[in-house]
Amino acid sequence: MRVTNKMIAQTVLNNLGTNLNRLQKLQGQMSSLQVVSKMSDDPAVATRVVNLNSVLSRSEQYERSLNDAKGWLETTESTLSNVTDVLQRARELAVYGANGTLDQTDLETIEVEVEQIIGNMVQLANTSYAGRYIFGGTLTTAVPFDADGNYSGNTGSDGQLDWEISQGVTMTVNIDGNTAFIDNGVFSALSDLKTHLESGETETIGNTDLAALDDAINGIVNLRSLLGAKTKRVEVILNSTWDEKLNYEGLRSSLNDIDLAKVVTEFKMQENVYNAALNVGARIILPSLVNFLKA
Amino acid sequence: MSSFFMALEIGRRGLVAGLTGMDVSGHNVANANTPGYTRQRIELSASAPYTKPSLGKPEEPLQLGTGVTVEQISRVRDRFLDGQIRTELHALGNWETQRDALSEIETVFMEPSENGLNNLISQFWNDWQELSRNAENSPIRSVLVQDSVTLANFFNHTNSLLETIKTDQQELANIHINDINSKARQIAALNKQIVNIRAAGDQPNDLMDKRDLLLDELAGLVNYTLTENDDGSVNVDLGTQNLVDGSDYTGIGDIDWTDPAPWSGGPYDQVTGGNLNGIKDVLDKLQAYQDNLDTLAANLIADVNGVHEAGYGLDGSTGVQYFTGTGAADIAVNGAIVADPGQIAAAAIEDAPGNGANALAIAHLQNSNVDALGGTSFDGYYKNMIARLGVETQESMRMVDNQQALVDQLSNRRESISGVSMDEEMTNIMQYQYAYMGSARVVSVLDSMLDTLINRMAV
Repeated sequence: MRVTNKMIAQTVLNNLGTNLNRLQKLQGQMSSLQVVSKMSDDPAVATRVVNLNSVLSRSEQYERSLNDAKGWLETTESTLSNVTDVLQRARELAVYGANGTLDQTDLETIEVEVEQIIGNMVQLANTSYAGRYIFGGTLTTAVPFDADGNYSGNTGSDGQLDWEISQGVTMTVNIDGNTAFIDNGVFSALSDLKTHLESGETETIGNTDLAALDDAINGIVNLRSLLGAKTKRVEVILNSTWDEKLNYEGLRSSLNDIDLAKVVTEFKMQENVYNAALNVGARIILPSLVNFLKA
Repeated sequence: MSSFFMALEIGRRGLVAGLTGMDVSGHNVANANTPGYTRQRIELSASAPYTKPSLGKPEEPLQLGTGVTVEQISRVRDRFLDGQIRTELHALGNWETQRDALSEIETVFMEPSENGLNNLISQFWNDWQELSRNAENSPIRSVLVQDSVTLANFFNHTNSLLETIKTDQQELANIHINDINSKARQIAALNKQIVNIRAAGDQPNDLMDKRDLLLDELAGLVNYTLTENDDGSVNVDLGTQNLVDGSDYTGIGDIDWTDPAPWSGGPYDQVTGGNLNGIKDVLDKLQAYQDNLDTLAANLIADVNGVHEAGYGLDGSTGVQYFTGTGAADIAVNGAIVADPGQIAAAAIEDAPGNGANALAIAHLQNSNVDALGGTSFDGYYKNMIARLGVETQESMRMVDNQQALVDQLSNRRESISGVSMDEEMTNIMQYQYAYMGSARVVSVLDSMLDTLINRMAV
């Protein structure tokens, strides 16, 4: 094949261009630390990366859901634990009050404490978590119980806070005030105890009121075990969400994070090739017969 | 018997041939880097011999050479390669235009990145999820509104950027058409000169180089068929549309973009290659992306509104639209909601501030398959679209690389045949120099012979 000077120049130029292109691509990968920065770099990998981004964003969202649910459940549980303690104290007082040997003054002293307990109980029933009343059903912004323990929140399915804790799985995280306090007769038991202490009906205290308090305590303890089970479930899901997130992050990283050592080595090699091409180019472009003919 | 003066004439012819050879080599060297230049070669032949009857053999006259003539100065060119290169240039022009436009579209979508639509949509669904758990919380409502405004703006902005790319490409098409017309005019003018010069019996080498260069450039712009006429002129046709006919040319008009099918009429439906066809193809692709984006926005508006209107805001409002607008161009968050995020219908029942069931129903749209989107989810539809964009952009880049390699290789072959080699020209120059010196010597020897004959012979 006949070779002309222009061909050599053109070939040198083309090869330098190709080398520089490769250098630029590697340089881009080194500075972004990612294999693909545009869809066209590798559509298959880029599509998976985009997919993993949404999956990860979703599992982070579920993680937040789960943490919120856990916080809500734990607050409810610890409140109900306090409710149990307070009811236990009321029960002790009832046992003490049922003792027929006490005179009316003693009973009235007990009554004062029971009254305080009722106030205490209303406070517990009006507990708020992050600014929301946990026993108000979905009426989370209004105080659910008045000073006499009358419930103004909602109940049943209207009163449920259903949160999505993983894809397609919702959990009712709250217990409304009606279920917790009214159905279990917490306030009625306490106010009956107070009335009977006032009227000195020690026998009724011993029979009816003690039984009512026991029922209330049992009811609350049942709710607490339900909450415990739910918290356990949330924790299990939370753990698997973490695992899942870790897996997806690992996958994304293996797809899209560059192997720095490899890229730097490739870059170095490419740089050498480029330098060699420049060197050779400088040597072969100049000379022709013109340089060797005498003028 | 031959005369002295005939020998002198032979010497003169040798001098002329040597000088012409020097001229041609000098011209080649001078144009070594001229684009489109074809190296020229001097074609020499021995001039018609003089027949003289021989004394010794009267029946068999001797043929006596009369020196050299320059037959013609010709171009060294392979016309078959020209055709091949131009075919590849049609494809190269086509893909180059598509690559440039598709890369631009890819930049508009900014995927995969934090700021792409994929992330904004994810964030939008996450916000609804968050709201479903904190329905009465007004900061979370405000965050949702702000993220929704960002999402709507992204749709608007992307749509207007795509619209700008479309307008740019349309303008570019008309610039290319002007360029095609201008080249057709120049080719027709060159045709006329070439025909005239050929009629006078000369080879218009440099004009033909110029015409070939124009034909190469035209090949990048649009596909055409080339017919060579006997008089040396060429005809150029775009499909059935004549562009150049000898010394006449027919311009093609600008494309009317207000026409709903701008490529269907006139010469435009015959376009199958070159930059112009690249624009034709890429405008189709661009339209598909714009339509997809529009469909996505329209369905997002309809589905979110459908669920939202069934719910209740904090103030008991119901039947409120969340988004206004009909597509990517005009999607916006309802002004009433921006002014009062309390109107976001998070609750499925009235007067239950903590109820987030409706917000959860909207968040669930993320995974629901939408019939109008071909049975995929919103996210899936968008991902399919940008995956297609990635594949199409990558294809155009690869095709440009391939075509460029082909054109380079063919150009190299053409350069190998038609290019000027310095070494070769230097050798030629030396060759002609010695030939010239030889002829000059013949003349000077004859001169001294004549001197002897005329001046020194005793009278």
